[in-house]
Amino acid sequence: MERWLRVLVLSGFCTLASGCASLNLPSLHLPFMRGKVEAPETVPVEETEGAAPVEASGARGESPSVVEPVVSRRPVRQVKIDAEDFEIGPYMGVMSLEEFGIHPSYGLRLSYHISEDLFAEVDVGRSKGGLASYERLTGTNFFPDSGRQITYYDLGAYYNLLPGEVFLGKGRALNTALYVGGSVGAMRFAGDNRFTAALGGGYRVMVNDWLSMRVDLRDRLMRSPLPGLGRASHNLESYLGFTVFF
Amino acid sequence: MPTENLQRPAWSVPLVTGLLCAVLCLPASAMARGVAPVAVDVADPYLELHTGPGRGYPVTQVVPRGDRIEVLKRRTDWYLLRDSRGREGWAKRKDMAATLLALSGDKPDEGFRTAEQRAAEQPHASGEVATATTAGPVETAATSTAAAATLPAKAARNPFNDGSYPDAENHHWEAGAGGGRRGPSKVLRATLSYLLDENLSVDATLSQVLDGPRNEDLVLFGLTHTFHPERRIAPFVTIGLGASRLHQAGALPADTREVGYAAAGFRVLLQQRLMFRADYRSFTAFSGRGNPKETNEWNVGFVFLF
Repeated sequence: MERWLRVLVLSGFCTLASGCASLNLPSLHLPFMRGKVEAPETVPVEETEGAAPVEASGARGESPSVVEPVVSRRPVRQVKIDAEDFEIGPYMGVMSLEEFGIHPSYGLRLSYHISEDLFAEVDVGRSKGGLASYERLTGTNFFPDSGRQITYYDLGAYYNLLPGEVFLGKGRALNTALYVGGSVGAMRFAGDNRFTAALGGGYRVMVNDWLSMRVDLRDRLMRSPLPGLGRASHNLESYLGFTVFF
Repeated sequence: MPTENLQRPAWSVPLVTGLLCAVLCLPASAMARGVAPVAVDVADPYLELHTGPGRGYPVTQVVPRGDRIEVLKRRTDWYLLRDSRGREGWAKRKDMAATLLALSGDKPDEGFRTAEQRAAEQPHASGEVATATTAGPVETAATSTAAAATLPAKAARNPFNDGSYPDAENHHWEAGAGGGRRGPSKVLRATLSYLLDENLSVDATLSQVLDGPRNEDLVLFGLTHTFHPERRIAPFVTIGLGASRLHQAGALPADTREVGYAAAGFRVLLQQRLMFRADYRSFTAFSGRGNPKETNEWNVGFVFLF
């Protein structure tokens, strides 16, 4: 079967399935829908103390007493509480690109705290690479200067391994956490996008309830950009930044 | 020497700038919203206040039952509270189940009474119902009793819905990221989903295919149907459309193509707000120059709820 036909059949199936699920037709009393059949309508009956119960119209005179159960539903208030699970902030540091020297880097990160232990993070950063030692020695350039700009992003998950406190002087304690984790992403260098896998961690110091200072270290592994070199390159980056919880 | 095109797409600069501006404006708008703290009396026997939102942070204060507290904010499973003397600390959501129920206007023990206790409190729903012969009321009473019997377990798991706490039963957004393979190439993917109902969701995906014969950037929009979303392991199917930008080898310009895809996979609920997800996708290109029209990829990753 042609591939596009398979896509079409799957599309139809998916639309039908979701349509049926969301419609929930009350008129369809099929045998497999036993649990969804609604109770027949009855006339509510008011009961007075000492008086004989009044027959319901649906009872057709067979019932001596029909009592409507009193089911009271307590109103539930929806209270809005400020939720601060996101964290965002810029950072600056240095990146050591293997063979291409150490240069300043900067970026922006956005985190989401899934639980007290775990958070997911997206980093987007920039840096640049210099001349490789071979280029310096021979005076040739592998890449044009415009291609030496580095742009990277990472999608990672980190675990708050060691929560604790640091003490500033006698009367001030700040909450801290040491976290470790890993990420996958891509780095654009020398006109090519390369897959990166990073391992690393950092240290977070909470200045107050919504502001934190963070120091991080990452090792980004990727296919070496040097021509003919098939091995992985280790690219270390250390950076300092602040984040705001919101 | 890699000589693939060095041209950055013209739309990338405004897109990145716009995204950065939007992201930087988020905290400011969140602070400007200024959700006022909510006051409530402690209904649990006592509340332990930690210095931070985590079990590793020390307990410095204890607030007894009946004391008035203010709920200032929530972070993950922890609430920042201020007691009547102005002292602040973080309490765990699980430890303040009764207080949170009281906050929602319900009695602290409302969800924990048995069906028999409820029936005893309602004289109409006890002996007199047993003598009733009409099908309607009897069935209704049975249904309400069954609902009451299932309430304690549900209330213990999800005692209070403050409208901002997302969990497996109450959320609208999902975001995830993952990696996989497409032939010899590696695939990266980030997805944002909005749940239309418990089964159906719309997805937006950004994906990159790297380290292969051709690099590719994809923007995809899809419709996902999840079967049995209430189960721990739930299968799903997805269909969608999108655009792909294929970076050619050599000095050739990038090739932009329209693509359609169908996918099938499953997800596993790991925590209240975290899922593992795996799927297999089949892509078909509707246009383009001489490149493969059909490709398949598999992908695994994690999804969190918010």
